[in-house]
Amino acid sequence: MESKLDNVLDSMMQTENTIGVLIADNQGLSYGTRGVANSQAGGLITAIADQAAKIHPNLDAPVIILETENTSVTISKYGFHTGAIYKRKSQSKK
Amino acid sequence: MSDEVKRFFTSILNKVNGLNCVLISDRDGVPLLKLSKDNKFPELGTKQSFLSTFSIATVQSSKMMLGKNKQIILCYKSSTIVQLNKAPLIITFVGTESTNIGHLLTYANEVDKYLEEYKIVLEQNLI
Repeated sequence: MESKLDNVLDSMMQTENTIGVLIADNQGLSYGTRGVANSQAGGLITAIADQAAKIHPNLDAPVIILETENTSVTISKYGFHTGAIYKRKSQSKK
Repeated sequence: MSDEVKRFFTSILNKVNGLNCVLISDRDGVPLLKLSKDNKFPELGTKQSFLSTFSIATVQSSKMMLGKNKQIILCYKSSTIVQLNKAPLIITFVGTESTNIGHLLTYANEVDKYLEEYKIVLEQNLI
């Protein structure tokens, strides 16, 4: 039943520098995760997306990027679903 | 200590989207602490008969050979109820249908350290 979702998660993981993927529903419950993404983070990621959407309630939900020293997490809300992609920052070429 | 417990649960109420009310009760459904955002307590989920039903449900669901039941999530048309099994206590969270359950459950493990006082009082009264 969830094979389509599994395929989407697997194909997202194939993208360069991607180290984790998470998809959660509107209630913060994770549908699926791959890589470093923790299924318990679904609630927090949905909460971040909900809070950010309140800044401009008349516009579409924004894409949020959380950056740390080595990793970036891109959060996007689409309808009733929220997705997060964990990426390793590419090393700058000298 | 009691103030600390109130502060902790009030912070959960303020942080979790859609959450309206928190109840700490004993296994018979007698409320020990009731907190809500606007001092209004929804009838569904706060009645003693409803709260005590959880005790039966958690015992029965622990018999499915899947280990001890930790929590039960109830999704109704217009509300969501999350009940945590912290024997001999029951923690009940009542919210709207769009409550962020995942966010709420991240606090489930933190709850234990704030409940010691209640557990000691209950155990002393049971003896």
